[in-house]
Amino acid sequence: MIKFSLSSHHNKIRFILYVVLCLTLFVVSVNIVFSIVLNNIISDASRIIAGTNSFSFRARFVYFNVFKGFSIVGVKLTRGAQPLLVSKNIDIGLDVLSLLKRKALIKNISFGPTRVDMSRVSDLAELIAEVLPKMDKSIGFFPTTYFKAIDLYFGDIVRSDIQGYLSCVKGSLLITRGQFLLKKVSIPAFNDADFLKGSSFYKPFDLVFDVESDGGGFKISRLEFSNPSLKFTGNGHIADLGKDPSMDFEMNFMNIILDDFPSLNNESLQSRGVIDAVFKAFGTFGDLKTLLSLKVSNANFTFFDSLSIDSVSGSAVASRDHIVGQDFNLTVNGMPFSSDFAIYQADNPHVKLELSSASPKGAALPLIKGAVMPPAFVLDLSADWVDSGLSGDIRSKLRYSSKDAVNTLDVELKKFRLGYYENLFFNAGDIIVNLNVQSSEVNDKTKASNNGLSFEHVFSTIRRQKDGFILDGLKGICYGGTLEGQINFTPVDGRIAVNGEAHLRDVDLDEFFRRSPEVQRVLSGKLAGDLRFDTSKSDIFKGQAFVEHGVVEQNPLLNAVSDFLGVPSLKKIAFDDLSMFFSGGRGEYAAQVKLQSPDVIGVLDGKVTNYEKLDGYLSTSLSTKLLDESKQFRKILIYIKHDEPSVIFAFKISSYLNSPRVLWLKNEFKEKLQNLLPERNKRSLQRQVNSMVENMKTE
Amino acid sequence: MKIRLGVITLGFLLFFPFGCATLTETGDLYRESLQDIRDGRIDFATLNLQSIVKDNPRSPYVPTAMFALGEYYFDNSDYFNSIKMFSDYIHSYPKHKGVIFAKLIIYKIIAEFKNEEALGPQEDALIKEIRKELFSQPLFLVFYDKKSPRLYRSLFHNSYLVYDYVDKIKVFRNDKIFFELSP
Repeated sequence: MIKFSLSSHHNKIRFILYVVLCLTLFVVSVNIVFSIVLNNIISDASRIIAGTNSFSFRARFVYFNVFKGFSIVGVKLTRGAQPLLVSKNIDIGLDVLSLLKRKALIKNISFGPTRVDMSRVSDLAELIAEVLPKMDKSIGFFPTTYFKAIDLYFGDIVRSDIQGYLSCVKGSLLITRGQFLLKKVSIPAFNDADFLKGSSFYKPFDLVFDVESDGGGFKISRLEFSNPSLKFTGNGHIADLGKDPSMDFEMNFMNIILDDFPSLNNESLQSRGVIDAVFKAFGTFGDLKTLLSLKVSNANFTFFDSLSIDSVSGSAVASRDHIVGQDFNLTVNGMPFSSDFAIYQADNPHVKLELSSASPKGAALPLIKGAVMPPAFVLDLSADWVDSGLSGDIRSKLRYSSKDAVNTLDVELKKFRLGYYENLFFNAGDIIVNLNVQSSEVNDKTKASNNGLSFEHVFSTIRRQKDGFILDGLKGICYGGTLEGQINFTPVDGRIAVNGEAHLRDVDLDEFFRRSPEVQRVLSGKLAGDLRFDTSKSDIFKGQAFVEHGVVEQNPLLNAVSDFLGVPSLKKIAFDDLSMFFSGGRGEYAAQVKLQSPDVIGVLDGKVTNYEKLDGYLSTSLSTKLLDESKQFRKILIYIKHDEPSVIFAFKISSYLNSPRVLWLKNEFKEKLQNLLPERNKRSLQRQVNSMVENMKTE
Repeated sequence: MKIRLGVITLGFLLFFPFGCATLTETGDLYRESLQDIRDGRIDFATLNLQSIVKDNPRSPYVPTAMFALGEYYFDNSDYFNSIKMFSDYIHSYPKHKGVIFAKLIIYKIIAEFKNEEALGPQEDALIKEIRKELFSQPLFLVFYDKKSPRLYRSLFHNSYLVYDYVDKIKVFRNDKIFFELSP
């Protein structure tokens, strides 16, 4: 009994194994046969595609699985030498029932990691239009087809997953419903930065895509991506697919809220505001143009607690490798500006920025009717984005008017770097500062003055303050000496005011004149000085300067006194100390200059008004030994029996800087002389001096 | 005899233009004007001077006549024609000795008789230019507080004196202060 039972059990197992073996053999045979057939079909398809306009299609192999459908492995579609689509594998599921009717209807299609060249999508459309009519009619799509693509790359820019159902309604309407997931976006100009990371762009989108066959083309009646935070809609038209295919497509990306971007909201950067974007693709497939227009409304950015850029509004256009923005209005730390910019890809992302301060409403040039006041501040930046910072050159102009003159401070920064390390900082290889004073009168193009200074290896940190910003801890090298200081930029009555202080030590004046050949050499020695300045006040400058053990020469005033006294040594004085205290601005300056040498002590106390008018006093004490150089005075001193070690001369100076009027003021020495000299001699001496002074003018 | 003839001929040739001028119609008009001024007939003198300027622009009497006409308009408060006449005179005869005084009168008209607020940019530029020119010469006063004066006497017997001080210029007309000017 038991034996029988065992035998019966073995028989059953044997039977089952037999059936399984038969089925397996059947399935394997079917798989092999269909795989062979499909490989032939793929080869046919390759031939068909190869017959079309320079396209080629290649697949490593195809295998059939009776339970899943078939898989094409190693797919590569190219035109010329450029790949259009490269996929690791494409799995296609067929409707079994359709096979019984000798038709192969694709029920689902799944792409493995696939790369599509988005810039040549037009080539793909052209291929579909050419190949589809030539394809075997026994292959088609099930009325509702499931599709899926994992790691679908659109060029090098976008990596995404997409899945959904595709249905054909009434033979001409193609409806797609599904999900789209953005995995990564790389902007070519900023490969190391993913601005969208963590934002709603990386949340799944519901996808709606409706396409309608329209004669020789397609009408994209609805393309919609939406998730709880974002909604993008598009529509368009593809025409003349068989002849000269063209596209006209528009997609709106509305209400992109900057607050939702973690990459733009972190410890160092805060962003608020809304961006609207419109993407357009238009033109024939051979010459397809794409354009992304960006509109920024009332956006605010705060960088590193140093710069607050608010109320940003404007429009920009982005193409494949550049972004250009024009007429952006914004405020920088409360100061109103307008800006144009361009960012494009060179060796590194290159930034060109022109920033102009906005003129107050109704501002007009004095004396020129109808002329609009030029911007008070202009910044022109050309720099590369390298290692999370900007490196390049900056030119800036700070313009301020005073009475009938327009003063322009030109600042050029060569080889600058703007970056962040604990603080926002900048350094520059060279800074060249030029102050131009020019009359604003209609026909007067004469430059009243043009004074330039050069600084090297300048470093400063940039900090935000309540209004404006501050260049703090400013350090640099100035003609062999050192510069330290700080500069504040603040808005005053809608204009930019600049104030700050600078301290110079050990500045080599010889080096200054050697590097400024256009400036006449009048002084040598080592200069130390302190300067405070504020462009919003009438007294813009206030400062002091000291020169030790230097030489003063080619000074018109000393030349005049030298000629008058007949003492040539006064034309070039080697001094121990020279001190200057000055204040002023807008053409009005007051200065006190004191010079001390063993033989000369001179004090000039004067005022310059309107840049050219002079009013002051000069007091000079000359040693008697020095006066011996003068033949006349040697005789006079003997004549008046002068026995003091020095003689004091006092002068009043007036009129214009270029044509000074000097009056020898009365003092004890002059009175002695006046009483002793006969009138005839005085007149003669005056005539001689007049003639000498007039000759000086004509020299 | 030959030498004497040569000297006479040379003298004739040298003095002919001047002599010719004095004998011309312009010379007559000029002398008539002087007589009218002496007799107090200023308006008639002016008419003659106008004829000289208008009809004989190359006459050597024209610069003096133009200055006198500018003065006449000035004294009759016809400042428009005064400035016009003085401007033409300055442009036509920039080296004539009266030019500096013509500029001073223009300056006085613009600066004192016209409302300063109503000055246009060109007038403003002109008075600045005149002021700058008057102070364009450097000066070193040693024993006197002013330089010896610049002097001009016009056809109408008005005498002008300009004194340069260290910080101003004083202009006198007929020994009365005409105006004072700072840089």
